[in-house]
Amino acid sequence: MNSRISIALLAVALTTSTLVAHAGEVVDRIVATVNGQVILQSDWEDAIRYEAFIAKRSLDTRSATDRKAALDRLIDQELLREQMRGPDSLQPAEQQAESQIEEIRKHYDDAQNDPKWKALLAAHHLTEDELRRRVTLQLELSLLVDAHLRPSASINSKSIESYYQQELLPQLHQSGAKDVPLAEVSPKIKELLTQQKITELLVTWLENLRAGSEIHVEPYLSSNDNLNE
Amino acid sequence: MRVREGLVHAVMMSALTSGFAAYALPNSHAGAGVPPAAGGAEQNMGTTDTVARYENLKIKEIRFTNIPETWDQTNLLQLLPLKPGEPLDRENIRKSIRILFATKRFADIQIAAARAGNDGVSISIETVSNYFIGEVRVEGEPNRPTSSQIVNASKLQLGELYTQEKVDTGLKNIKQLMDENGYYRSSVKVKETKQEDSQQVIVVFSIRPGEQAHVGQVNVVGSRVFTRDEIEDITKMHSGDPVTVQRVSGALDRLRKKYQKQNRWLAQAAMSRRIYVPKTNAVDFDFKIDAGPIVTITVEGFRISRSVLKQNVPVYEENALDDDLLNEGRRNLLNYLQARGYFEAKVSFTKHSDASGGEVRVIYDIDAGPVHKLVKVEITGNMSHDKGLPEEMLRSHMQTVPAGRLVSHGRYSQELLYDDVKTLETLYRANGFEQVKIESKVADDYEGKKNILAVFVNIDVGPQTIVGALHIVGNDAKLEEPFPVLNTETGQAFADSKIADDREIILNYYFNQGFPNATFEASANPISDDPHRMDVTFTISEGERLFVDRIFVSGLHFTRPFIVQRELLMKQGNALSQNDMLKTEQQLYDLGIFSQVETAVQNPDGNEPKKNVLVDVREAKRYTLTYGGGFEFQTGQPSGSTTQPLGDAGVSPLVSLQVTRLNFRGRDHTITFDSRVGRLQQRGLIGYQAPRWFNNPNWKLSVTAFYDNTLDVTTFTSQRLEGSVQAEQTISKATTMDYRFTYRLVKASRVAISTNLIPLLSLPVRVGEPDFTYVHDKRDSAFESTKGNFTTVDGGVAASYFGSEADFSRILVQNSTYHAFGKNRVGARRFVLARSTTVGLEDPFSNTVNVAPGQNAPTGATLIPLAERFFSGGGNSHRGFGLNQAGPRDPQTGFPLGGSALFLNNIELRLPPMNLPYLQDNVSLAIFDDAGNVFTDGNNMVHSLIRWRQKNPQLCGQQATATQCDYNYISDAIGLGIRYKTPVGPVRFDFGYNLNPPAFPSFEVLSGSKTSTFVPQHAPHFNVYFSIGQSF
Repeated sequence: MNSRISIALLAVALTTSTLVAHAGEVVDRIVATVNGQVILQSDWEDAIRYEAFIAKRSLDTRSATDRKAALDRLIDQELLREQMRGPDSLQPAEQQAESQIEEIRKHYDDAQNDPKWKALLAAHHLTEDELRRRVTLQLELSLLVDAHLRPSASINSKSIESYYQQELLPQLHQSGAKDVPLAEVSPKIKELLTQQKITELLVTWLENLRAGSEIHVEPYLSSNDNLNE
Repeated sequence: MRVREGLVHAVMMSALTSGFAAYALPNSHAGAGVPPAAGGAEQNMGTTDTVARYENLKIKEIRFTNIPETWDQTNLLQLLPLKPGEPLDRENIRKSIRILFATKRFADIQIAAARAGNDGVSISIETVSNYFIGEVRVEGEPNRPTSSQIVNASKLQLGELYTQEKVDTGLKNIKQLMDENGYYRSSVKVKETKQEDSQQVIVVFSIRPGEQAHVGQVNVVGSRVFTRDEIEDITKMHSGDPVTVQRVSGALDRLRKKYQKQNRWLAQAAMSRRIYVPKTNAVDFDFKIDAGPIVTITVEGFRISRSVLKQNVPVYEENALDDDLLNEGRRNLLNYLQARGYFEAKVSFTKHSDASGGEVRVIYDIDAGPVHKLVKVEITGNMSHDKGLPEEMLRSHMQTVPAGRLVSHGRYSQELLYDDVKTLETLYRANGFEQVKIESKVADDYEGKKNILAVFVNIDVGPQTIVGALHIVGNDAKLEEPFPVLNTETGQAFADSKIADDREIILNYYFNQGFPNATFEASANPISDDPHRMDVTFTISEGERLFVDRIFVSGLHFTRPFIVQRELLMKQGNALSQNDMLKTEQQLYDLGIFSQVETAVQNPDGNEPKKNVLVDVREAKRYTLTYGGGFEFQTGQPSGSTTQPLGDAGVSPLVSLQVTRLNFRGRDHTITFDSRVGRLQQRGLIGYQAPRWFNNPNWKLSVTAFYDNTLDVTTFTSQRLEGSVQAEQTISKATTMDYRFTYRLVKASRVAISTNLIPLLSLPVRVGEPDFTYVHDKRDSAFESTKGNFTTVDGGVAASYFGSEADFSRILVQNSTYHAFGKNRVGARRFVLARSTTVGLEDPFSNTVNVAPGQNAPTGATLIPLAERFFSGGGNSHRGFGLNQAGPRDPQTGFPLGGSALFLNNIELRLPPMNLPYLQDNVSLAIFDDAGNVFTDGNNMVHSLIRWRQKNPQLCGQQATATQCDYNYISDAIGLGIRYKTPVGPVRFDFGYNLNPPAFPSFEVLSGSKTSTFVPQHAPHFNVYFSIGQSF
């Protein structure tokens, strides 16, 4: 009984503490906080546009689930970014960012000349600098994850052989391709398995980071209507 | 598995370069993330860009729409990059929200825009406030745990951010505390009151303790030796006893001590489990005990007392027995022996266990060897006498000392000498001699004399490093306080310890002027052409300066707010000073009406330049009952008998009762009822004290009325009914003036003096007297003065104008000086020459006269009442006399009469403390000379100052000439004092020897006779005193 009353009071408190009335149109607001760091509505929207651009999807096709997933990724990024703050943070080479941008550009057939590329970016509210900043951030996160988790993601020769026998050879047979010797593909299989392991470890790491963090998402985001804004 | 795209992008870089597809992440772990959409339906959504509609429009107005009116919006608006008159920029909107959030004053923020005219935009900032912990109070608590313990258990810190989680944790902690104290049936509720204006939350924990649990079953497991019942008795945990923290924690201590008494020094006792049984409200305790073997430690080959053995062998203290501890004991015993002259001692030990393991025997085998004597400690080398490190100073830092009067064999051991070398090296390094090398050598059979030792210490100081130039950078702010004086100075010795001190000085300087984030770094580089000269640079990063915004005071129930307000050193707009906050706490404590004072910065982690400051007080209980007892011991103790003019050597017991009412009328005023009853004095007093009279900190008013029945003079019992009004003015830190009007009725009863004086002296006398006291205190310490001076002037006039029945004026001047000397001795190790001179004069006028002992007063004349006269003698005045035994005496009875003039000169040489076994350096000696006396009147005093013998003492020894006995001379006493240092001042034993005590006449009723017989007497040469505090 008491717990029900407490829940009811909490609900009232949350309702009253949420900003509802305002004069004019809301141009920006806090949508979440991660250990005292703010994620704004505008950050969220920028992330959605960037992801749509990278995935070569139209902004109009982004669903409520996509939007929520984007916010979750922003929270994860913030958690990882906290881990980067320190004297040992890894910086990617400038060349890496440029080559990554080139890869993105190749996905767009009509982006081979500069005016069209810039127009494409502008359509997603991006500039070349902004794109470079975001790509660099992703590379930094990638380096962090790799440096943090790769030492724990060791793959033994038995796993490599098992993958070769049970995954690769059946696929090659199915496609009618010629068998390749294990020694030839062993390094690539090892890297593939390492990355799969890193992926698993990353999930656990993020879960632990979330468990040890103060994460607050604005209550009004629980309404789908608000997500449509 | 579903792909989490963003992170895939993050990690796909490496995958791409390796030629494999990106690895995938599940999307299901985001428990604290965005709630899923209802029904999981996916809708097509675009993104909005509302700000684009207002971007670049001119900002007409910015306002906070829902903060309290009392808040100053200007402070907040100043922080924002959004400015009226400037075009709206989306990046500035983001920055503004982030800056406001970083202040931590808001839990939520949004910015809205509305068109204002054709080309303008109006910005409104809407916020949800954060709240911070204000008062934390407790209601309904039992005696224990106290409210303070409960508040501490809640761990809610004044000023910190309030969250529901913190309060929930507080509740949990309090419940745990209640359980530990046996209140398992307690309930704890919390009530929070939010104050919008101050952003504070008042948290009140309401406690219902319920019935205290009792001890249920006590179970014991292990090898316990004692029966279960015996263990219940030892632990004092019987079934039905209330469960308290003290009982539970004390149980284990008592158990361990019990085993230790049986020499079971390895006994282990622990409380392995405590189980609460709700049905019976009882707690069952499980003790796990391992009694261990009986440990016997003995010494063979040398006689060492049990207590010395326990002090030196750590097995007793650690409750463990291993070779490390036994070896430590061996080393300690070796040092003990060396310190007593057995410098060649050898100590070894053997350990024996019996087959059953029930007993362990440790035998320390000592071969003490011959006793040695350290006759010489010689310090040689190129010590730098011109750099402030003379040999005397070095020796004062050493523990190794040659034989002398106090240490017959000298003090030496290898360990002491090693420590001395380290101490001297540290001393030299602190003075810039970084490369100092000190070697020590011990010579046995010195100069061919067997068992005589000499220690030689050779010091090679090396070059001294000097500070070349001192550069201070980064101290850019122009501050009110001048930059502090530093230890590191150009041309002075360079030392890391000085730089460390300077760091503290500089950071404190900044902390106290509103720079809590100031940092300090020091670097030192040798000058290229002089490696022993260092250029030192202090780099200061001041950080942002913080200022005081508003000050909130909480916790006042009876006290009027202005009483607290006037003590606050923090002022709105001033720099936030840590020192001001600490001093304010101290000043509020000094009012004496608060049991707890806490100051804190509200929202300390918030990033804003103006901070609210919180002052939370807890009012002390307003009524205090104090009672106590004590005794005084001295010679010259009034016996109450009329036949012992010199008094007795004895003890006077004393009991006292005091009731104090603090916080009178909501102010720092106090009413006191004080009573004390002893053989010397019965006294009742009612006092009223009002500090800060007329709101001036330099004035204090006190009104006192008391009844006093004193027997501190053997001659009479003084009954005094007195009322006085006193204003105390603090002129400077050292100087105070008291202005008083005293009105008293004095009656001398049980008068033990000649009958012809009785009618006048025993008459009740009313004295009305305005008087003053001037105090100038420049001593370094009131308890243990080593330098400075102390002067008091006390004067007054009793006259019929003021309702007095006797007319006389009075002045009493005392001046004391203290001078420490002893070349290069440090601090308390110096000699102190103390001197005190007291001169007092009473001058009768109008109808009041002075009469010599044995003389009749003129008809109609009044005498200065006995209780108003000067008396001297005792541990705090003239140590050649018993208590108040100096001066003129009644020729019939021999009892002291007091006088109208007083001269006393005390000179005391206070020696440095001695290092004695067990007593360490707490004992010191003093040699004193007290010269002076009490005289019939001022004229007699002036003419007797150079008279060192009693005039015609033979006249005092004959009945016919007894009335001519003259007491006007300087009586001189020399003596020796022993002082034992305590936290409340030295405990003092003084032995005084009067070189020229007076002879005086008296009559006594001898046993078996009914008539009194003339008995000539001499005051004793020898007197002893015991007291606390120096004599002056």
